[in-house]
Amino acid sequence: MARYPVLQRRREDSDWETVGYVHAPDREMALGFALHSFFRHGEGVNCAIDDGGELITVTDPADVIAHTDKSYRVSAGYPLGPKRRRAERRIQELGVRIDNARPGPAADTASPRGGRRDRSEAI
Amino acid sequence: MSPTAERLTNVPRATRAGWSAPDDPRLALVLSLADDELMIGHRHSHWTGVAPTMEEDLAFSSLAQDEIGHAVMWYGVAEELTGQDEDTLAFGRPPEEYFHANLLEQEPGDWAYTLMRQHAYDLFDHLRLDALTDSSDASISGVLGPILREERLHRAHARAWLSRISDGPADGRAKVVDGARRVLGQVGGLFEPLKSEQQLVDDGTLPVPTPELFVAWEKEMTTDYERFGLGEALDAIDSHGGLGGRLGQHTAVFEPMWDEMTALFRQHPGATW
Repeated sequence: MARYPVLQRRREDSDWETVGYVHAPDREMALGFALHSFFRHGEGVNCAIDDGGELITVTDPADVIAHTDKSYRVSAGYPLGPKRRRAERRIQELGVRIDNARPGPAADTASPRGGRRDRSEAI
Repeated sequence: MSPTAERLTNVPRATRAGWSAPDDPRLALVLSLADDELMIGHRHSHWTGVAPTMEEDLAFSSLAQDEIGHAVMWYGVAEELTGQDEDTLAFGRPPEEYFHANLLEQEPGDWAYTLMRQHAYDLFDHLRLDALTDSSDASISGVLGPILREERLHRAHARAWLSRISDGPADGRAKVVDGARRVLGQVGGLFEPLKSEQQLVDDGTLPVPTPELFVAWEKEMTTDYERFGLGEALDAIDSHGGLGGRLGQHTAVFEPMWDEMTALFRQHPGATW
């Protein structure tokens, strides 16, 4: 199968930039693979494959756009802030504190988890 | 029974408190839409890591995620009707309260079966969703736009493969014809009416009765199959094959699938992630 460079335009006024490659038997399949592999999560406004110097773009740029919520596919879709704030509120409600240092080279090795721990209060 | 299957089967079957079988015909409709997408997405996801090529691996995984994403949207509509969260609706029901077509729960089989099922189902789904754009229920018609947009790409994916296979070696075409025959023998279940479908037709929620979609579907299937040189498989279409799913009566393969799909949810009732 032939190897086709995949290009994208981030915005309408952006230049084309290479984002990767796909392997496909022909240009039509290559464009389809490019769409599924590199786009549809809101990465850009248009995509193309390079077929021997000829730029083949999608017929309808709307296919490039993410139409349904794809946040579950990217790390940004899993915000930790709200989860951390919920944990902080819960800690306050329980009247306890975290006094266990994060594991790391600077942590106290006396504790199995790398920090001193007051078992009567810590969670 | 394998140790894994035994472990999954032994998970308590109790579902989350508050769930009861839907009496509202609208809910049965929305759940059938959601369940269809969840089951086909689950079965499609089997190909992640084992598809014929790396690019197809990514593409088919993307399709699987799309279908599960659509299921989430439909379960969201069902949530408005029941007050039950999406996870409970997706994983918290007993097997007999799922309303998907039995074709969609069948094991992935080989690539030919998978591809022909994807083609047949996405064509049906397009016709069904297109008909629902005229639904009197705004909560249903309101979510259709983005789903229809993505389903168009799914049909293009299937047709791109069929077009290459029709021009390829006879061996590949023979496998696809065999896969098509296995799919077409079960397609009747896609067009099976829901228990209270007439009520949905009467109040405009369902502008076209599901069985009536069959004529348009068969016409488009015939066009595609003849275009791709697969016409010999068309005589396998069985409008009475694969029935029961819309009424919660599933085939033997569904119970182990359900066991696996819902095991984590059942092991940790009420957990948030």
